[in-house]
Amino acid sequence: MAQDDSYEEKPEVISSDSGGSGYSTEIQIVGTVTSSDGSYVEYEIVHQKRSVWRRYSDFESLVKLMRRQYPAAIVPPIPGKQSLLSYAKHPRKAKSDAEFLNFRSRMLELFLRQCLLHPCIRSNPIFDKFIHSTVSWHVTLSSLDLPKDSNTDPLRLPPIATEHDPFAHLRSSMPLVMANSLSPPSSRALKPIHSLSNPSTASSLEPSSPLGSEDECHPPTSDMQPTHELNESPSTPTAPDFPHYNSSPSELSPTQRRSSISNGKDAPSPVLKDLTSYTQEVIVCRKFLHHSLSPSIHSTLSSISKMESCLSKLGSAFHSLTALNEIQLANHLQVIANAFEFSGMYAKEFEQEFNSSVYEKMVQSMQLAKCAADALKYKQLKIQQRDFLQDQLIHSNTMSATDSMVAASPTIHPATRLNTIQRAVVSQAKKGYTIFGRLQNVLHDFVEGETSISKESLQQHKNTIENQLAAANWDCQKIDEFMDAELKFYKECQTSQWEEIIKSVHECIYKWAQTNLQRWLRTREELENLSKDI
Amino acid sequence: MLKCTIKNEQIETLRSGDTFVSYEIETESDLPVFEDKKFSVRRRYKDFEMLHNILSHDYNGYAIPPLPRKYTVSSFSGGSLSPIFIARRMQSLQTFLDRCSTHPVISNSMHMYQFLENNSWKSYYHNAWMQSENTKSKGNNVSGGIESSIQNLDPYAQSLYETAKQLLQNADTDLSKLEKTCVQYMNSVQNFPTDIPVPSNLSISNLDVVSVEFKRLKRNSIFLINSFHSKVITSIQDLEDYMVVFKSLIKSREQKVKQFEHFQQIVQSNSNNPDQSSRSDPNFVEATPVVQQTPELKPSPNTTIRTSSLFSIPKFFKKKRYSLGQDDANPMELLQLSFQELCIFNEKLEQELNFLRERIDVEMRKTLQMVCDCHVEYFSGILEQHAVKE
Repeated sequence: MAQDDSYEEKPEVISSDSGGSGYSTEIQIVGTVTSSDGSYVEYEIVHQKRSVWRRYSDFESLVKLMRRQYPAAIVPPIPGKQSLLSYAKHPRKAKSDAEFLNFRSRMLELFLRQCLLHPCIRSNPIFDKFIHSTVSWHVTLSSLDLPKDSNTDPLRLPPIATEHDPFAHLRSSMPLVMANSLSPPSSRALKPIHSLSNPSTASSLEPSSPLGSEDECHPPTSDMQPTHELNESPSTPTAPDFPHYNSSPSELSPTQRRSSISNGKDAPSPVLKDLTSYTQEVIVCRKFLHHSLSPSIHSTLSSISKMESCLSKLGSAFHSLTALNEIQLANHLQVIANAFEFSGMYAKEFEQEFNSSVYEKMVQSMQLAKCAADALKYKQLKIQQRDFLQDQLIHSNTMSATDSMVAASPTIHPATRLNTIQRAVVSQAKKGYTIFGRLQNVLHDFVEGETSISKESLQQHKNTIENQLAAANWDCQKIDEFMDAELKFYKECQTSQWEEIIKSVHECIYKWAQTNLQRWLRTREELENLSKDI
Repeated sequence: MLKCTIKNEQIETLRSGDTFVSYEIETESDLPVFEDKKFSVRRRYKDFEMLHNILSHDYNGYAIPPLPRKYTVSSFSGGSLSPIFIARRMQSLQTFLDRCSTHPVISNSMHMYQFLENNSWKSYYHNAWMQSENTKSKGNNVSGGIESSIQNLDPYAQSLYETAKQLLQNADTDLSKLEKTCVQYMNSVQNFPTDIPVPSNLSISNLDVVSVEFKRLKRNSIFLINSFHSKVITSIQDLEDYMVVFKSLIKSREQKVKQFEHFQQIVQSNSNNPDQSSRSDPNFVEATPVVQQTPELKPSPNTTIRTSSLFSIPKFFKKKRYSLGQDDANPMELLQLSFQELCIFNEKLEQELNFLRERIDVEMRKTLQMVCDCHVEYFSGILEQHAVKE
């Protein structure tokens, strides 16, 4: 037999999105049903007059799927599974505990409501099936053509899943970078400028007449001119070789380089500026929740619990004043004892309501802040990935120049190779990349030093890096466009959650004070009546 | 009718730099001894101490209400001049005056009348003290003849005092437990709710609403703590101190009963051995009371030597015989005196215990009313601010 535990919750209507896309955020979990063997609980979801039944594991798989499809998004959190510690505190079966089921239902309902507010998730066809399709979720998952490699790193996934990904074939070989905790977001403003100067330096190596005329249209900044002057002197002895080198790729290379440079110029300023304020906001909010609000509310709950036990003790103390019963005070003491016991009962109710309506929402708010921090970390990794690819491209250009020199002067080959390796290591160290990046470059240099790579192979390698850089730039651009909506969603969720917390605090205190006042006023009247009777 | 009210506390400073708190005592009475039906005087704690001293001296055997406890300065954050301390002391002094003004004997005392009306209280106090000393010295000389028959103690009265003793013991235990529980309750209220520190650089604008709400609630809690301490807990402590006074009275009565029983045994043992028929046995029996009474009695100068024709009594036997003659009178007198004293004390104690029952009833009822008032004020304050907020 299935146990039907229905909780008729009051429907809460949140106004639809201002975009007018027709998505209603009115969604409820109206009841729970425990399976016949007691192994799982199903929750009834009602949205737009249609109801479906989902398990907790279904919610879990949905969250995982959304996080794979939108690594850059803030996916709302669901309540965690019941820990062994809390299970030990309640020896009876946890899933049949009405309080726990009620708590989980409220949290899952909040999760669904926040998903309907999200700009991407609410229009996702898989999410739509989750809340509307009456087919079993397991069957729905089987029918989807999900990728088999479920352990792919998020950096090799598109930041926002779209039907047409122009760089899908490049993602499996994209480089992975580790989180660089040593460089805060504000210091990243220096690196793009430094890396931007290198493409200009590379372009100055080709002083042909059509490129020269285009450069004159965009005069270089004062920072770049000394570099240009320094590069002129070493290029003079090798002047006869340049026309021969430029004649073959003249039509394609300038176009790709110009597009790369333009992408590099547009990306950093707005991304970094918004990223800095965004980071500060999330960090400050999370710090407030962790260090100020959470300990205070937790301590308040403890003090209410102590007050409740003291009130019960007072009731017992007044009850046990047997010595005074001989002086016709038994009725008076009984009245006061009852008042204190009722006051203790009200304090217990106050604690329970405060815990369910304030503390739970605060914990969920903390979890949402953590999800925002995770999304922010993903953005930082993407930016580092792009910077890494830019450095790789510059390095390839340098290698190309070095190969030309090697062909001209075979006798100085070992010294040139050593200088190249040293410069690569120093540049990597200055930019603060991890040891893996350095090792990759050093090994690459050694391999190229040992064996001679043909120009075609070098060109192919450079093309691969350029394509990956284009993909990384495209990813960062997508993240930049996506971030405003994401930030809006985060603010909307936190603001509405906080307003509910404030409202709940007022309601809890008001109800507690109101019931206590009525009780004590009645007690006072009873005492006065007893005094008149005597 | 005699009604006293303490109000209008003021902090005064003398030229010597001493600072104290003075209280106005307003009295309403229809007794002919007072000039007016409504009048007031201003007193300080030391004046109350003087009244307590002179009442204790002149009304021995009665339960003089105790003065408020002298707390250490560290007990209160503001010291002896903090509002909480003054409120508690006013509460206790009011209780003291209520107990004195409703006592059947003390309320008719000249000391009480002068304390409530006379503006030159200090000079009256010194004169009264001198007169009291003179009366006491005269009283020592009066040890005139007492003519009364020996009576056994009333068994009903004995059981009554046992019951009263048990009542006092139980009441004291219960009140101590109640006071401890009240203090714990106040400690739990003090921690509710915990403050929320709000950083200044927080971007969300309405985050400090809950913090303000908690601060307001904490202010109300502190108000409840002060009110509860100055009224309810102080009232319970005053009642405990009053119980201690009655316990000492019961203890005094027990000592008097023991003394009376001791004298009774001496008299009975003397009356059981008057014949002295046997030579050896009378000597043995006579030796015991003589040894017990020797340090307390003086030899009489009007002694005569009795001579027997058959035997000559040794010197130490002669001395014992003479002292035995003295014993016949002194134990009887002492017995009469202690019995009379015990009867008077019993009469007073019975009267005091009846008064105690009345006072417990009145004060406990008042305490329970104050408990209700404190809580009604607490929750009304919370709701008022809540309504203002909305």
